[in-house]
Amino acid sequence: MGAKVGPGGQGGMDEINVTPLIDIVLVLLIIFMVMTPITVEKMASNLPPTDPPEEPPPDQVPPDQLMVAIYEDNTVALNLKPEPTDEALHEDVRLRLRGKDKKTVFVDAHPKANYGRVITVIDVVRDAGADKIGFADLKEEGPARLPPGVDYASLSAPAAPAPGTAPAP
Amino acid sequence: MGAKVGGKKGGAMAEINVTPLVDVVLVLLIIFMVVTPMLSSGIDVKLPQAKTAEEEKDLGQHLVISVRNDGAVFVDKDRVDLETVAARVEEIRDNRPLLIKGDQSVTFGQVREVMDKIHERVQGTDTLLLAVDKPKEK
Repeated sequence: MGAKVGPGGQGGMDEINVTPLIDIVLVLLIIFMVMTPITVEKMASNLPPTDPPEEPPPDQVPPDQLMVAIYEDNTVALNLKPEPTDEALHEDVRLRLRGKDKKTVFVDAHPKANYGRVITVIDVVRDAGADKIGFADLKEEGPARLPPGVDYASLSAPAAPAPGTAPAP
Repeated sequence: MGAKVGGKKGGAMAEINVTPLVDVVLVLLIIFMVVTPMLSSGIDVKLPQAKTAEEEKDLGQHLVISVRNDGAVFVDKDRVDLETVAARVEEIRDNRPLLIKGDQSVTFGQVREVMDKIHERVQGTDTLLLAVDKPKEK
């Protein structure tokens, strides 16, 4: 009787139970078949009209309009204010869009700016709350810059008296 | 003993030989694993990354215009040049939305010129879609 039990047990050990293996493989197969129609990720962007009506001069940005400039060296400015980091840009755009109905931001990039960089900036701006991105007309010389030697702070606070004109006691 | 033999035979008949089945299924699995990354529309470019993008199933519903890292322009999988891209798009568009796949290393001007050429000629292209990649979770 002892001998009988031994061989019987060994016979059972010979075969591997493949049913769970097949189960798993079939499930994997079905997962891949379902996932095959892959996803695309995309962002909508708007182009300016082909023949724009009366354009304002390029360096005059209406105060309530947000214009993000991306220069040849991939640096960024918001309405001419240089933004040293993407976080600063994010914060500025967020503050300026707060409470606006039309959350449109225009992107004016230099033709030689890196496309990946432009997409990163658009990503930051969209993350800050913009729901519509428009591209400005492509200009050979790129977006307007602050004139050399002019500080943005002096532009934004014209009421402050210049140091030289302060009345001396 | 007779009873024992009968039992054994019955046991053997009840099992299907699964080895070929497993073979076939594994091969199918490998085929799908290999083919899956090659199925995306248009040509293969290294897309820039953006985390705010909307995700959509790619069922071939877009007409894809690609700008490769060397500046070459493709409509679907056909190479075109800057002058013929708009005509080609107009010809085969069939009212599909346009998706622009620009390589992350090209200049903005290269992509933008293609967009402008299409916009000048093709109706209903005020809004174009820019393809991006979702950044991988870290």
